[in-house]
Amino acid sequence: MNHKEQQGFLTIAANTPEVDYLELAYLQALNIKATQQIKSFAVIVDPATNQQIQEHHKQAFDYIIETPASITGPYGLEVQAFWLTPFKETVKLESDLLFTRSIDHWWTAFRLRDIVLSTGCQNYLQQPSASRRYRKLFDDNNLPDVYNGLMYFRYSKTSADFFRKAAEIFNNWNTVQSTLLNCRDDHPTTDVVYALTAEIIGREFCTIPSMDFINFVHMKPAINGYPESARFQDMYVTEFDRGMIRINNVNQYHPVHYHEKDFPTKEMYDYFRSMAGVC
Amino acid sequence: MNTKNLEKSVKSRGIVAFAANTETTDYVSIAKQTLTVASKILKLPYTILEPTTSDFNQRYDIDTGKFVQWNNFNRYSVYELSPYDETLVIDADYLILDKNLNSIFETPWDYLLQRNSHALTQEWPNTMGPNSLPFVWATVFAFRKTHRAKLFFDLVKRIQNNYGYYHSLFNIRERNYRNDYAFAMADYILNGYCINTQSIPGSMLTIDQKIKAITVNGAKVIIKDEDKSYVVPKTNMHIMSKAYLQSDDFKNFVDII
Repeated sequence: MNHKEQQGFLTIAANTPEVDYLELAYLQALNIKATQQIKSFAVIVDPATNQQIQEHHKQAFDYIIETPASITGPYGLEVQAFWLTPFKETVKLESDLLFTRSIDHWWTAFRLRDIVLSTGCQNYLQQPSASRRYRKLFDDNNLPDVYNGLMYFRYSKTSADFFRKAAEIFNNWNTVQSTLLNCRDDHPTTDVVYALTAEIIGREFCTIPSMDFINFVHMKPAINGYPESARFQDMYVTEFDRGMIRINNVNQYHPVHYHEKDFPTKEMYDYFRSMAGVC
Repeated sequence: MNTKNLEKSVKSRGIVAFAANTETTDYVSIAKQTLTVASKILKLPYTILEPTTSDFNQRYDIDTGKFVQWNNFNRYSVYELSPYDETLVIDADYLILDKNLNSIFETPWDYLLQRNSHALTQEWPNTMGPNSLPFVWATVFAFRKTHRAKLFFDLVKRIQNNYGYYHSLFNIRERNYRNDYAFAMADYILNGYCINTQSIPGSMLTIDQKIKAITVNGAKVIIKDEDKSYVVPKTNMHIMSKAYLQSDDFKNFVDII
């Protein structure tokens, strides 16, 4: 444990043949520096991704933390966040999430708990999603409707217990999987693991359902009512207007988990680079 | 001499409807009757406005099952044409039977739209297309002569004049120009591309079928079509059957009201 700062954002970038997560994390770092007052940014990378870091990345990332590659599936690095973060208080994000305005005031709400998982999600109309299309496993097993796309944790015993328990579940997924109803996930996914962990340590210790703004717009198809086979960029007019993301003529004021990895445009990089004051 | 009352500006308030006769429908006569009823119920003066264009659009006529002429263009001109400071605008086929619309003038707004509607015999889609946004009902709306209201109607004008562009931008399915859609699009844009929830309260009842008779029985209205009778509360209603609105039965109904 070697904390360097009080507060900051953290994401994980482990490139795959299909997706350059490092570039998404880079855009996210620029975006945070352009939109937030609390804007320190750290990225956890595996050795292969670390090899791809260039000078422009280094200017946007305040901390680059290399860790061995995951041996417990594609999401295995997630549970190491607690031990690797350089911050005493961390907002951990999935790398394909952008802000259009400051969430600095959310930190006050986050401090009501040692760890806060976002609960539920919103559609692009900024309405709570009623779709359960991707949450059948959660419903069948009565798990809390949590998302790891945006979460807060503070250096504390509760958080340490949470991440230890989550690591146990990751490491013993085959056993855990057999205890779940209708679970067909061969590899553990972070949302399910964190929901199980929340249930074990007590969901009241790691969620604040009454703070219904602590979540994000999720652009998966069923949440927004378009076919599974389509991309939202093909279904709706999407615009980038000086930092504002507009989807189907609705401004997105909530964090946008764009999900489609080819959504970022050169215009976005250029804009946030200039606003972040990064060369 | 006490001049206090003279200095105080008294805002005028009234009801307005557009009406232009077509080959099939005597809209002026219909508007005279519905406005007479509205004026009596709400105790407000009324004015019939003539559309500022003689161009005709088309609408589906439920009585004949055919598309017929309809002049629904240039509704934005109501801002300039209305003689009132505070205006309630209704379509000629909107029948006011309760006083609720008087109370909307007690709240602050620049313009107020009707967002919800339900029909007697079918469920309406509430969006402008499968991948579009909810629309509003321009059948009844209100505005005050303010800068923001003027911006709204200027925007409606821009949308009507560039309808092809906005039609594509908003993923609208129907090709025909609808004020419902133009008003909704202007509302989204003027509200900073956000969904506005301020609305004329309640859901507008639409009588969407051919009608044989409408009668009032105390606080209830009985609507008879070819097969059934429907009992609904005595509430404002949008009557789509123009044949009924031109019938003797409707004239009698207006006389009784």
